Amino acid sequence: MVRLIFNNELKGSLRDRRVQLLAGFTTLFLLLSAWSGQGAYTHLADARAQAAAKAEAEWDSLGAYNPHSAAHFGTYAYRPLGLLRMLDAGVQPFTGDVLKVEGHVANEALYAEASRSSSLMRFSAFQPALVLQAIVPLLLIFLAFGSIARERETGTLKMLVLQGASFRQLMAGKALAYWIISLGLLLATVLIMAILYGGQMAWDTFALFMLGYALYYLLAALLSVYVSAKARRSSGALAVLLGGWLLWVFILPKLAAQLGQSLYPLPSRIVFEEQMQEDRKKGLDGHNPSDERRKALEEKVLAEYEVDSIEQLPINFDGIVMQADEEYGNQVWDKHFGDYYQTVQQQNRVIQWASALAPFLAVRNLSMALAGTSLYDHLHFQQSVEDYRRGWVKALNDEHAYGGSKTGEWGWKAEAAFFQSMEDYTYERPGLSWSIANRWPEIIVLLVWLLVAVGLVAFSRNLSVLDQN
Amino acid sequence: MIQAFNLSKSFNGQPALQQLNLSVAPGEIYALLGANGAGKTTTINLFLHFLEPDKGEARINGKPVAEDQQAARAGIAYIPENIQLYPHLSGIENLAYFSALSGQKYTTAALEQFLAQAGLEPEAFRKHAHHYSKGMRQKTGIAIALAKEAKAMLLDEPTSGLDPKASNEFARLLTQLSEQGMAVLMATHDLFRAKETATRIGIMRSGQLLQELQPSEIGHTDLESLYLQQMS
Repeated sequence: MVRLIFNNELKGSLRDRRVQLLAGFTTLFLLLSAWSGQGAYTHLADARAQAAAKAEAEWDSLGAYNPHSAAHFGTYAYRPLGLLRMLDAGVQPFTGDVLKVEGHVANEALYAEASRSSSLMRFSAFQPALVLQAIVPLLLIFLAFGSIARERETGTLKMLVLQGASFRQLMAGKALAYWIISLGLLLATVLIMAILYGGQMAWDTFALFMLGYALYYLLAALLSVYVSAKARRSSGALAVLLGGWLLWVFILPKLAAQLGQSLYPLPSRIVFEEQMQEDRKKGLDGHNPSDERRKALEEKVLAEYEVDSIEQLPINFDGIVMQADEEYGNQVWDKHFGDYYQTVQQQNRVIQWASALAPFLAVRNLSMALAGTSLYDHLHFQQSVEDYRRGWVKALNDEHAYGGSKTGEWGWKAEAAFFQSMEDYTYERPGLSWSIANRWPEIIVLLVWLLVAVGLVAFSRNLSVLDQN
Repeated sequence: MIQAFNLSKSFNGQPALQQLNLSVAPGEIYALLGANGAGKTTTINLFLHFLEPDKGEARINGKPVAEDQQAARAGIAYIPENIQLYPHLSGIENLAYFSALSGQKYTTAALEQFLAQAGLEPEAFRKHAHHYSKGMRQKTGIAIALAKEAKAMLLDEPTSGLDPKASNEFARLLTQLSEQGMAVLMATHDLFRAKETATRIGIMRSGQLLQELQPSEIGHTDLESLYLQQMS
């Protein structure tokens, strides 16, 4: 019975010009956004490759150079672009994914304005994720709002019920038909990706990415059909569904982001910088020999080398001081980054709770997590660059201290081979399990909503065949 | 067999049907006459169990409708005032779909035979239903009812909007079906058609069955006079 209803609904929908038009427009949106996403991706990837090559070449061609000057010269860490970024750029356009690596200063992208916001600014961009997350459910609403209500209005519902179809079967068959239509759009996305990047694709991640959307569409189809069955009129069903869509896609996410920011505010860029600088000042100043803590360190090193003065040291004491200062700076960074990370997590928890009311948020977060473009991914990248930076600065400071120069020889130069031997930064994207680990609440929310929707369809009572009384 | 025992229904405290007792035996065509709001459609909806009765019981082929809706509905064919078909399907596809829903699997030839029996022209069989006139839709609806092979048929203003020829063909078909042993209950305003087709006529007003008549025992003019008298 469900299969019969499914077949009829699918046939009817595919033959319906309005549906053809709607599905056509949605496909067009998807193709346009994919084309735009692919263009942006290619452009970024090319620019990134050129810039990375240039930075590497510049570093390798430093020649003989003072290590501390090299630390100020710096280099760049590039985060490779994941292929799924084409479909869901997430927060990446706002957080950036290139960080400068240099001495004294932790990576600068930490100060990027957008990186301290988990709001939905990304709606300004026309990207496939917008179509997949907001437009396809809208298509499902337009397909399904009249599915039962219109049958009731025209009287065919009476005939269907009299022929033996139950509401449960009708709702299931119709919802499955609309779901299959939405899956067609997902299939189009899979085909585009397979044609363009089949060989490079991480198919397990991509399959999960698509599965998340498939479940989301099933939920949207079931709820839309259920609302249509409950509504007396199709116009009423459409009003309720559009209201729900607005609430899910725009209002609740904005409210959740604002609530998160109100409950767990992140400091402004200026305040954050000031706090960091204030704490940093309490550390050792590598360029100020009158600092008391520098004197304590000096005494310790002199004792270690059993000499009376810095001039007698066989090493360059300035390198040791600078490394000690870096280590203090690292502690400051760890504290502030830790606070920042914790606040972001608290904000994110608010959004995760809000996703219980708006599964759109759940699928959005899940999508970003699987595309590797979530705020967590950005923070992971930052941490990874910071880890690299610390090793990189330490190597330079050690070369300054132990490479053959003496204290005060700021003009001393390390050999070119030393700089060339330093490893370039490579980012290891965390695995699928890491991406999912942060997103269990969203997965549970999506599954619970789906169960509720199935329950509503399976156990609905008091649905009327008549359009009055 | 179509039976009602003290069947009553009210909406918001207003009685729509009061203590209806009715029995339509196999081979009978019972016409329920009455003005709008007399309770005819409510009666039909109670037999179809689209409405829950406040009191009393409706039975189809001896089965209480409220106790086993599926079994009762399986024995009913129903033709509403305005048959609506799926516009994207042809007449024969509509028939195949509705028949399949009721568990009937027919060959194309058998489906064509039902449509022909209902009076639909063969060239219309494969046209999409959005091209159909009301008469063509009614005929397809009749074919759906025929294909169900039910023993009871409920009709709600079935000839409303049909031209005289189509209405006449429809009446002949109903007579044929009743002769084959079907029990038919028809709600209608059409006094002439009721007199010509029905084996019994019931006149309703304000939810009450006021009078039952044998059409053979009354002329057209007398029926009209009686009807108007009851309505006044």
